[in-house]
Amino acid sequence: MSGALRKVRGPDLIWLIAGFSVWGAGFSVLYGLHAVGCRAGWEEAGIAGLSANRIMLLAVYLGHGVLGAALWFPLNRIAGRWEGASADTVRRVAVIVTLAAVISTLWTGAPVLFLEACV
Amino acid sequence: MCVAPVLAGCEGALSSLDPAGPAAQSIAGVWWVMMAGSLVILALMMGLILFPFWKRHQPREVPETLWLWGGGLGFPLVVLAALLAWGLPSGQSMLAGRETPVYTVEAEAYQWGWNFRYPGEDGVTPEVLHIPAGEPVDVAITSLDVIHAFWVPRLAGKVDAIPGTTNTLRILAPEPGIYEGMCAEFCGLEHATMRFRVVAHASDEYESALDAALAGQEQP
Amino acid sequence: MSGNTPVSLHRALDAVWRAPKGIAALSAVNHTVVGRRFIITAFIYFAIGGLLAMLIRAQLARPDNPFLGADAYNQIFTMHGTVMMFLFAIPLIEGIALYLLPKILGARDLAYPRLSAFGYWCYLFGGTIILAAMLMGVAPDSGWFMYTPLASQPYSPGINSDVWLLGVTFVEISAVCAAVEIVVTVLKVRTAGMALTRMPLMAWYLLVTAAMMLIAFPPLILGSVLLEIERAFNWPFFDPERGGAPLLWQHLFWLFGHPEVYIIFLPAAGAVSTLIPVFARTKIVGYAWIVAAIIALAFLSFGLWVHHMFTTGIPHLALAFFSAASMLVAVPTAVQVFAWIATLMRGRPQMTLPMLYLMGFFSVFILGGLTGVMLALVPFNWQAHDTHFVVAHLHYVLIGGFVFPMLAAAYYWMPLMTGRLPVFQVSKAAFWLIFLGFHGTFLIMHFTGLMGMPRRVFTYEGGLGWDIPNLISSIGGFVMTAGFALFVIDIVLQTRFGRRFRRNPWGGTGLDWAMPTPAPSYNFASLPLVTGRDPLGDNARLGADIAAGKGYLPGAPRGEMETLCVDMATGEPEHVLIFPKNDYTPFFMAAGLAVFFVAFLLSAYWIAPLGLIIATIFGWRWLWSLGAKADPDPIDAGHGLSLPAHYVAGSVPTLLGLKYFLAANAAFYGSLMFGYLFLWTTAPDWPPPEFLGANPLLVAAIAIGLAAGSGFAFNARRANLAGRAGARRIHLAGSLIASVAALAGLGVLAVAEAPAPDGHAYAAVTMVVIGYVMLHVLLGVLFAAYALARCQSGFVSALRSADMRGTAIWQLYTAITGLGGLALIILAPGGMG
Repeated sequence: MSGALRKVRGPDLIWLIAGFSVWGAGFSVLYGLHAVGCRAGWEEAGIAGLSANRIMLLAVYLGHGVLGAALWFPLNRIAGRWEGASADTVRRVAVIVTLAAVISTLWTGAPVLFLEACV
Repeated sequence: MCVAPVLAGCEGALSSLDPAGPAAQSIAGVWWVMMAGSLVILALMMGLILFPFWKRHQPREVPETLWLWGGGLGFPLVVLAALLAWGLPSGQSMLAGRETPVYTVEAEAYQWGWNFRYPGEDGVTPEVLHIPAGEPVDVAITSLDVIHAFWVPRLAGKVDAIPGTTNTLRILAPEPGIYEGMCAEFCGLEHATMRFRVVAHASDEYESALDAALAGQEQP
Repeated sequence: MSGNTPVSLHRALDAVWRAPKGIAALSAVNHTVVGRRFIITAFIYFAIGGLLAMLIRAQLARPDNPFLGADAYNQIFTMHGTVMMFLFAIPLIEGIALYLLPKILGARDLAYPRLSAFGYWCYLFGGTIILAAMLMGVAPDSGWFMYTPLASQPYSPGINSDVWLLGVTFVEISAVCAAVEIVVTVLKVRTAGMALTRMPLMAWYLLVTAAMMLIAFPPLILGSVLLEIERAFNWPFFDPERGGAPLLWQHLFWLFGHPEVYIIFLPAAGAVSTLIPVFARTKIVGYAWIVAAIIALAFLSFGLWVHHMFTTGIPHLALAFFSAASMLVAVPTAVQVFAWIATLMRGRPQMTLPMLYLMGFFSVFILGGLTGVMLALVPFNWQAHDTHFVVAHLHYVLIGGFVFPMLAAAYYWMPLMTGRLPVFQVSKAAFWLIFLGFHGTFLIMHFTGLMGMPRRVFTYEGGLGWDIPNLISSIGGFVMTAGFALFVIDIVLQTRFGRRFRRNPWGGTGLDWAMPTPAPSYNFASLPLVTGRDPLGDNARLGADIAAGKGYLPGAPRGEMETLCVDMATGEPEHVLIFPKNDYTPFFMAAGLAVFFVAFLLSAYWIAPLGLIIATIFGWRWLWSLGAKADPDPIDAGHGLSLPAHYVAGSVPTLLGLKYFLAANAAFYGSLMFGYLFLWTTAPDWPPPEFLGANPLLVAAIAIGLAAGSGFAFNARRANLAGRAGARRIHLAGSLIASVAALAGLGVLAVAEAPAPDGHAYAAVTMVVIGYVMLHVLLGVLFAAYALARCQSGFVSALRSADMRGTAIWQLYTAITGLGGLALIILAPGGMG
């Protein structure tokens, strides 16, 4: 990793909650848009056997999964530079939490893959 | 259906463990599976917890891969994924309004009682819902005042009766007979006694039974 | 620091820190005193809640029991839930956190001693209102969940529901205060060298818990405010006949209610994570894993609330998201349980008394977790929901996951409070009575529920298979109560006759056992330099070193109460926090609020604002007492370390607290926005008959006023840093005038342009958005006036800039939420109508 080593600072702690913030955003958007989509009749319109509603839900689901996974790159770059008393443990917690958040995003949204949308 | 002899009394007019309808049956079945699985997991966990207190226990290395990746993450994820894979499609299959329209009756809750209406019929049958046996029936449920809930434990799960909204529940009584129901959401002073019953009639007798009931001539 | 002996240091410190006696005790703000008050009061409410439970079990012991009528029973079960949740569990957590945190973090007090004292008085007064209502026979009777429309005016005409809404909201003020207190204390008020990752796990648990409280309580407070407005002024938020939605209440309630369960569980799990390694004679396995698990738990617990609403007719796919999340939340819990098991495996555990209670925790809580997973399964939930199965489940989780660990924690930390050890045999008997009584009560209750017995019924007929299970539950309940009575006796015996000891009876490795027992008023005679997670384990002589003044800030040479504040990540000392002296202000401020709440309860709406004015006056006084009129000299902290006083530091604790308070406020605002959109998209009887009129000139004037209020405040702050006193005054005046103008514009909008709020839920919720913005602009006026007055009186300099920065932060928040709210209510009718 390039860049000078430095101590963990207060703002770095954002990495302890970044992953699950993506999970929270994905969860809220999925829940909210699903309610709107079913009410607005997006289930009836669609292409290639997929309703517009389903395409939207899949996009939100996969989009947040990819976004969560993409956090790995900045996390890896920034956390690689940490040194000092807190560095190892904070890095470890950040990695576990971010991984857990990606699993959670994929897990809680998974029903869009196989359940009917609006019953 | 009840498995354990010590709990021989699972039958009961309001017992979800004495199921009659297909939804109730399916749920009772999964309950027994989950109960057995839970007891096994509980025994396993308590064994692990108490083992270190045993006199012959020696302090040991605890590899993280086994305990945290395996026990903490892997084990519950596998069990829960299996449960969800069964539970979500199964829940969906119990919902009303998915396939061709079925016979639909209306249930209207109020403080403290129930009125039931039928398609194409005037009048109501208070506290008793008449349905044909052997076929699915959708119950469109609403409330005139506070929130109540429609629950016939031997037939299916419960659905709330919410003022301003209509929720639909699918029930099916395979055999003619009486199935007891109740309000399951706390609704004030007489909540405890807000009961009703579902009477299922053989399909060829249903019309006449319903007419008699609507005319106020309750049949036994 | 030569010449210091442990005795001379103790005398000097105790003279400054000693708690006041007699009537002056009302002014006490020290964390040991306030924490103890919280704990004792909470246990008194626990006893009351337990007695109510006994009445419930007596009534349900047999069918058709004439002992209690429906009305009495409804009040009793409502009060049982309300007391246990709001007056026992949450305050006990707060009390334990307030009592323990400085002791485990190596500090002498919390970040804001007066704030926790204020919180205590709010708790005491609010709880007293609820309790007094019960004694007068007008207790809340719509269930602790207060579902609308049952809790609304036409169906609950008495003051019973108002008692709940106002009393609980009053108590929740203390929860929000405690949350801010805990977050800032854990992040900043630690001893030297205590990096974030050297903190005891308990501090992590409390940090995460408090952060959850900041987000979880505001939705409940919003719901209570809306419902009370509906009841008092007939604004129809929840009335389906006028565009309201009964389910909105359920969303707001459970948005609080489910995180609440984990808010209760996490501190208890913190106690488990503390005790297990001590009694296994080893270090905890997987520190990083546990921290990660509690962070994950905190987030996931906000994605579960709809599992309380599986039967309300929400589309199945939406239920599926919540079902999946509800199952997933078991995983971080499993990670912790396996970390605890691995710790036991690695060590040589002993079945000490606290450990015995932890065995009770494991066996009960694991079963509760397993039934929780069952309830997360949608179809099973349809059958089990609102039956005694859920009653059994929740008691397994709460008594298993909270009460058993708390009893273990009580036995573990009581010696710190009393300086005495438990009387072992009595406590063992108490354990077995509680343990067996508990399973006797609740194990069979799973079956009672599946046999069809619903919750909240005051009577039932015989012959349904419920008779014998209920009798067993009732007998078990009385056995359990006998166990709790024995526990109380044991605690009293311990304080009287327990064996005295010198130090560290359990072999703990944290700083809490590095002080004399019972804990002195100042905790530490000097503040140690920490180099690892087990300071006392690494240096057995640490306690003596601290007492001899070998750490930082020994004694009280300046006659002030002082502690260190550190960098939140590294634990390097940043500044010295100088605590306020004992003060009556928190008491009188809470008393002012009590006037408000009682007046509102009695529908004396003209007296109610008087209470708010009293509270505001004392709030002003409180803020006024902060800071100083001259730039302070650096403070010699010992060991060659020279530190600034807190009020000239880069991160002034007061401002950090303001930011966390605004985070809670933002959660309130977000809930309000959610409520607005929820009504719009799902409530029956929309669109409304009449929309908000939006005169473009008026709207532009308000928007400019909001933006200018914030812009001027920032300019004033910049002018202050540059030392330009004249510009500073002009910009503050500009901020004040802009806020007054915005306030006037909003007033016109509310009076002239908005439809009458009692006609339709749209009009009602629009008016609440306007009211929210107006309240913040009004406080912005006060903030600007306060900053002007502080400048005038010489409290502000380029170095002492907290008042300027605080005003700028407040005005920025007001501008953002104000412009957002304005945009929503102006644009929504055009966009979606």
